[in-house]
This record gives sequence, structure tokens and C-alpha cells, in this order.
Amino acid sequence: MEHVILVRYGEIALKGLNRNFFIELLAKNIRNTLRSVPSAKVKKIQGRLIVDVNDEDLNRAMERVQKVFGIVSISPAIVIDSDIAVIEENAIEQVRSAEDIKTFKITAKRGDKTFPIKSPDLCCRLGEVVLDNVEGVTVDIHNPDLNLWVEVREQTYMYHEFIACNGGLPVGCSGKGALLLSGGIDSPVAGYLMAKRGVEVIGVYFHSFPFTSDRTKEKVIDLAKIMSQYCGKIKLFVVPFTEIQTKIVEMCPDRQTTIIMRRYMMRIAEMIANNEGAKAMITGESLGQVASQTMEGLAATNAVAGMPVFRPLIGFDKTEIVKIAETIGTFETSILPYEDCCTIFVPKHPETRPKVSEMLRSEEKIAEMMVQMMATAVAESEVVTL
Amino acid sequence: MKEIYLDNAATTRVHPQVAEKMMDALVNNYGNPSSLHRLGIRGEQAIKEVRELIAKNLNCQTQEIYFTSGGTEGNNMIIQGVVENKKRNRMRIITTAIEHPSVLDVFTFYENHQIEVIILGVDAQGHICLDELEAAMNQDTILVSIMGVNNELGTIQDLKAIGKIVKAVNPKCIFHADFVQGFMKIPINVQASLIDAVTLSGHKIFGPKGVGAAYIKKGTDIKPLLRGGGQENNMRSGTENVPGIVGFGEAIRLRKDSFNDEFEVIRNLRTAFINELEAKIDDIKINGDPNGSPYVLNVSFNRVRGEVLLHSLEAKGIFVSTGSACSSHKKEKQYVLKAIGLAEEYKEGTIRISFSKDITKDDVKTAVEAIAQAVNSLRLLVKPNKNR
Repeated sequence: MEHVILVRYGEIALKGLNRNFFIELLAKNIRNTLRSVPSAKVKKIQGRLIVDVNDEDLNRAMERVQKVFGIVSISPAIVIDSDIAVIEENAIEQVRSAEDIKTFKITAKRGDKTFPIKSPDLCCRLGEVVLDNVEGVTVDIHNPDLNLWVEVREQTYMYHEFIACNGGLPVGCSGKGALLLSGGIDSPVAGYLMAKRGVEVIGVYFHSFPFTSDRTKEKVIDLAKIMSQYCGKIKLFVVPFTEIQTKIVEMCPDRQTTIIMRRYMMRIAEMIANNEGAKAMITGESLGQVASQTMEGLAATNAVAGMPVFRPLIGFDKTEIVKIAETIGTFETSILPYEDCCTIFVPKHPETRPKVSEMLRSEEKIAEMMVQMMATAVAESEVVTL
Repeated sequence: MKEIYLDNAATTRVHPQVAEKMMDALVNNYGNPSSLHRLGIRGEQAIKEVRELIAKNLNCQTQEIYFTSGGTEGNNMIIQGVVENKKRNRMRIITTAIEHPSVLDVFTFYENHQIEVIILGVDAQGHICLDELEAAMNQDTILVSIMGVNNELGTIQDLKAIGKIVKAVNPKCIFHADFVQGFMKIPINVQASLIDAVTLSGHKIFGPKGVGAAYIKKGTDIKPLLRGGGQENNMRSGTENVPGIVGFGEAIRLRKDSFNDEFEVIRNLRTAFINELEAKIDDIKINGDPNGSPYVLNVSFNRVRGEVLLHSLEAKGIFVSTGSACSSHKKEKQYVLKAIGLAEEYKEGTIRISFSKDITKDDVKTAVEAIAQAVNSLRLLVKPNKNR
């Protein structure tokens, strides 16, 4: 008897002719996440993926597979020969070894039509042998304590646990996006949500030493690492931003520094996105959350972008964002108390209704030198792959 | 770039001679002091020597010294040990608002446990008011814990006067002093000051991290934190950290005859540092007591953020610390600065500079020059009230 993980994919099963492409991609992503579990092997069977894994690695493998996008649910299952005597024996054992159950039900499915017993008959037969052989249990087909699934195919899979996963699409099927990652609570969640729709995420972090400490950089790397459990491999660009930021604060009106800084961040992120073949940018902005995220503020930063900017959190409240951050495990790291570049220069009275024309006028003085400074920043970015 | 390490109150660099002795202990004196054979006895011997050395410097008996893993353990061992041992209906424990978290957190923990916890405030220099202490003392008071030298400000409390007050009101009350920042820097005499328990640490005096000691007066009832093999006279089970203790001992030996002279040298350094700072930078405030420990200099710069200043200095090879590692997201407030009533506009811009004998006059010049440069350029950028 060996253990496997049954992997069910939902949405991607609907994608017509591209179906195979999606399934292959999902299998590849599962293989990638299981690199650290050498015993795991991923196989395709009709309508499912199967992860074959050593007993001792099962829990570790399940934990990792659960986080892969494109999976609806998984079940740890045993695999046995499709032989009625073996099936009976294992059904008895499964019910007997289950703890704290009074009622059970058998759900048998005959996928292999050469198997001599039809599904409803198999249900009855297995129910009977279990009743005869296990003390203290009765059948309840509506609300059983234990629902034992028996899928008879070339081999037979037996399981009773359904672990709901995150759904979505396999990462990589929707192209590449550049995520502006700050180290706060929001941006990792934004990246997570876009990855859920199949986007391969690259990270762009703006490092402003000494205004942001090296600890903040470590924190962002840690965040990217947590995200990579869901998003797959993440290429993180650490952009040296001190000089640009200082120049903006020096040369531009106080009220506008935040927005102008964000405009330059956007421009640089787009340069990196283009270099990397990304077709969109992703931010953690949420409408009205802070002064720079008013509709006018967003419009002013958006105006510099030549590609779509995805803002998956735009309609989320902070509490909703925090909830997701807690679920995916980035929250604890996000709230570590280091200075970050978004708070350090916040003016007392930031512009909440900036106009693009005003921004352009303020940027005139620096626009020329910025061309060179931005190119340097991109060239001198440190790349960390997680 | 020469490193100028001005964070000696956080920890110190191990003295090469200390490292050498430790290496020898690690490789050669590797027996378990509890073993009956001669290797065990050799280990025990090494520990005993250090125990004697510490006892001599505190003016107590050898068997009153217990080795620990450091200051946090020592403070917990003594405070928890005293409180957990008493089973009385009415208990009061007293401390100050500027203690190290390993004292303060234990006290606030007991606040929720039917124990009357009194936290004494301090004046602008960080001194407690002795009259206030006297008023807070009563027959239910089982423990008074007051630090000798404050880690952020350098303020020195008058332990002798405190001991007198405590014992006058309630001779049974246990008087504990966290002396981690004072040991081998300023003298202490536990008998003269009527102190029942003291916490010490190795790594503040060029010894290794992970080792410390506690003095607990004979006859003081304390419930041990760690049970097991019964080492340290049943007070602290666990195999003794022989190399650590040997290193701690060597660190003490290296300082015992010189620390009084060093005190004066450091005081001159500190004065020079302050004079230079005040000459080069306006709008600053020196916190604490001018007559406190010269090893610590706590200074606030208006219109600068401490952490940003710290990182600017780090880029120039100069290492300091912020008052209490604060930033706007920090859960824990800058409680020491709050306790001395430092004005809001200075609080954010506070750094702690802590000296050692390795700092030269030139280092002071270089450091002040760097601070002045950083502060002045940061003030241009980070101006909360910059005109629009």
C-alpha cells in the first residue's frame, strides 16, 4: 500500500483546447514546489494529478502542494490493487482505524469499466462488509462522520479527507507582472492575488539607505520568500533609490514629494518590467487608504505608466487585506518595525488632489537628470531570486 | 574605513586575551564540572576561581555567587524566584519606570496576578525620588528592584541610600539591583549598600555573550527557575558554561585594577564628545545626569529621526544605537525617554553613544564630525515643518 496525494483542478478543466497546456503547467508548478521533497513524483491520470510520495514526506508534501494555484482541493489517499478482496479489506481497515466515528458512508466510483462491479453495487457491497466487520458503526448516507471514497481505476484510490485549496490558475499561464514591493502589509497580498490569477510575479523594491535600513531590505526578501510558496520562483530587484529620492525632496515642493516619488518608482518599475518581458505592473494600492491613494493621487501616478497597472486591492478595506496577509503568512513579517521609505518623507500636509500638469511642472527641473539617474538605478539593481 | 564602535552598552567586542582563555577552556578544560574524575575537578576549579573573583569585587561570600546565562536570566531568576516563593495574600513589589525590559516585563506580568506592583517614576535626569520610595514601602513589600546604572541614560541610582530606606521600613524585604551596566565600571559593595541580590552580565565588559552571574545573599529564599541536576547549589540546574565562565573571569581580571582610572579617562572622552557636539550642532539635548556613568551618552537631535541618523553613521563606519530601537510602528514605546519627560520633538531624534577604553580622542573628533554632517544634511531633507 502506498500513499499519494490526489490533486483536483477546477477552473482549468474548462479551458477547452488549451486544457493540456494548463495541466502541464500545473504539474510543472507542483514539481517545482516539491523540489525539496525528493521522493515526490507527479503523474497525470484522467481528470486528476497524482503526487506519489513516501509516507514520511506526505504531510510536508501536502503542505506545499496546498499552496499551488490552480488546485481546487487535495486528498491524501491510499493506492491499492483494483481487486475486490483487497478493496474490501482496505475499506474495513480505513473505517476501523478512523477515530471518533459513529456513522459512515461509502462513495464508490467505477472509472475502469472493465471492473466487474458497478458503482452502486460496489457501494452496497463495501458498506455491508464494513458493517459486518467493524464494531460500533452504522451507515448514515446523508450526514456521515466518515465518507469513504473509493475510486476504482487501473488502480484503486481510497480517501476520506478533502482539503480545500486556493483555486485560481496555474502561475505562468497569464504572463508576467512587476510587483512594487514595499515591505508593508499590502503589496505582498497584491502579488499573491495576481499570482492567483496565473501571473508570474517579479518584485521591485526601492532601497533608500540610510532612510530605510538594511533590515527593511532583509524583510522584503523574507516577504518575497513567503510569497514564493504560492507564486513560485520570484525574481526580486532591489533598486538603489537614495539619490533619486533625495533629489526629489530637495528640488520639488514638499506637498508633492510623495506623489512625485511614486511616479518615479512607477517609471523605474516599468523599465524593469520591459527588460524582463513583463506586460503589467502590480501595486498594493487601495483607494483612499492614504493621502497618495486618493483617486487623483492614483491618476497622477498612473499617468506615467505605459502598461496596465493592476491594483487587486483597490476595493479592499485594511482589515480585509490584513486577513489575507495573516492567512498567507506575510503579516507577521510585514509589521516588523523598521523605517520604510514610504513613511520617512511623508510631508505634514501631503497633496491629496494632485494634478498631472502640476506634477509635470514640478518635475521639469529634475526630468533631464532623472533620465540618467533612473538608468543608473536600474543598472545597479541587485537581483535576488527566491 | 576605520570602524568606530560606540555601542558598547549593547555589547562589547571580546578581548583577545578573553578569547584565548576561552579557546583553551573549550579545547583543553572540557570536562563536565559535575564529573567525578579529574577532568571534572579541573572544570570545577576553573569555575571556583571566577566565583571567588566576582565575590571579591562585590564584597560578598563565594557561595553567594551563581552563574547564569546573562542579565535577562539573572533578573528573571531573582524576581520570579522571590515572588514565586512567597505564598502570602498581600504582596507588594516595587521597581522603577526605567528598568531593563527583563525586569519591567516581569513586574507587569505580575500585575495581573493579584500582586500589588508599584512602578516609581523618575525625574528629568532619571533618578528616583527617595521620599517616594519610602512612602511606597510597607510591611507587605517583599521585593524592591532598582537598577544601579540605567542602560539608556547612564543615570546612577544611589543604591546605598535606597538600601537604607528599604531595610529601615521592612528588614525582610529583598533589595535587588540590576547592575549589568555598572559591573567593573563603577564600584559596588553589596554589604555596605544592604543589597540582597545583584544581576551581572559578561558581555558588557569584553567578555563573552551567554554568561552572567547573580549574587544572592545567603538565607534569601528563592525558588529556582531551572530544575534538574542541581548544579549551582540547586539554584540553577544545567551543566556549567565553563568556557563562558572562564572568559567572564578573564574579562574581570583584565579590568579589576584599572577600572577606577578608566572611569576618569572615559569621563574626559564623554565631556569632549559633548563639547564638540554642542559646538557643531544646534538644537540638541543631552539626556541623563552629567554625573552619571560616563560610559553612556544619550543625546537628542531635534528635527532628525534617530534610526535614519544611525544608518547614516553606519555608512561611515560609526556604530551607535537609537534610544530604544524605536520607530513609528514599534509596539513598545520609548518608555525611558517618556519617563524622564523628554519633549516630543526630541524623542524621535535620540541616539545612544556608549564608550569603551578603545575609543580615542581622534575617534571622538571623527564621530562628532560625522554626526554633525549627517544631522545637518538630514535636517535639510526631513523637515516636518518645511515651508511650502
